[in-house]
Amino acid sequence: MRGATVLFLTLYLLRAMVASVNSALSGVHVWLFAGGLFVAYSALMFPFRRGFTVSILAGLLCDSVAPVPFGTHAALFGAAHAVVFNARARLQRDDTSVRVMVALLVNLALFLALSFARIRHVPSGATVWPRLLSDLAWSEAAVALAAPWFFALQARALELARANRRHSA
Amino acid sequence: MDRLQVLLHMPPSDRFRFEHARVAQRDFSGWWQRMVIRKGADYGITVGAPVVYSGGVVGRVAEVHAYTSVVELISDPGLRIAAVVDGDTRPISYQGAENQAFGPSRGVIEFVPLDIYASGSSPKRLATSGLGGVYPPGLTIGRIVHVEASADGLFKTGEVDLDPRLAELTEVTVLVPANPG
Repeated sequence: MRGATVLFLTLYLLRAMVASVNSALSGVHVWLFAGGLFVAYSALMFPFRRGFTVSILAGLLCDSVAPVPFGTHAALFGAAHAVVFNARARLQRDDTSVRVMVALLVNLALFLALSFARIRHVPSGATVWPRLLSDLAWSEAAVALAAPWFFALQARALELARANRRHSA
Repeated sequence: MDRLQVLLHMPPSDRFRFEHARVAQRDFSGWWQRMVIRKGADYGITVGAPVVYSGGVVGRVAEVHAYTSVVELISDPGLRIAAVVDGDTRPISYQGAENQAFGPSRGVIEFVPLDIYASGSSPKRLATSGLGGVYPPGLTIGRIVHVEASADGLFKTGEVDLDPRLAELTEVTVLVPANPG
């Protein structure tokens, strides 16, 4: 339980940092999405129930500040968590590069899923795709850069809370 | 005060109470264009209240919380406003459009009368019409930089350049209706 709480706090910090960066980048019309970082570590390293709870809570946190039907992020994060958890036995999940690759793939899938869910609410849907693809490219670059640092932060936070024992299902 | 209102195209203060607020956070994605301001129900902000700055319209209040409010910007692809071309009284429809990365915010206009001409070298000011019931008339929305005949030939469509300062606002003014409802 302590591990899940610490992990959620790191995700809360991530949410605040992403919001601040997006606010700062508003002048150049670039917007970053980091959904993959909310799911990757808990899905790769935690037992299913605790990790799934953290992912759902992170999704609800994102839902609370986005103009989407409440539960959209939570449902998508939960689905992504389940997929990654089922695939993790075949992955070298202690390798940082593998974790980063998982975060990038999850980020890509979540961004596209949110885009398709959101696009029907935009009257001129087709015209926003160039901007969405631009945001996606910048988001993937940002996730690739931030993921090793953020995974290290999460591991260190779990160490400090003495909740860093190997979490295997 | 009256002279300032005329200069800024502000509505008379007896219809609205001006509530100045700082911008806490901007959230400009391809899906939505919103900002959070540091005043909410504690200052009597109401959903739907128009939000302005010295350059014209910012948007309208979409959500009101206890101490903050969320403002939907005129660059949001989901926002529509009844507008008029400066010097003309016929209403046209304005809507937020794509906001390209590293480019200016843009909007599109529809149902433009055929005798309206504008181009990048001779743009026309687009202002609120006051017909929608949300925004007072005469507030600047942007500059019409391109118009062309629409597919049906009955009207024209066009593009509107929005003020680049919209993306970097730090303070805005909410026009809280003096007699809501």
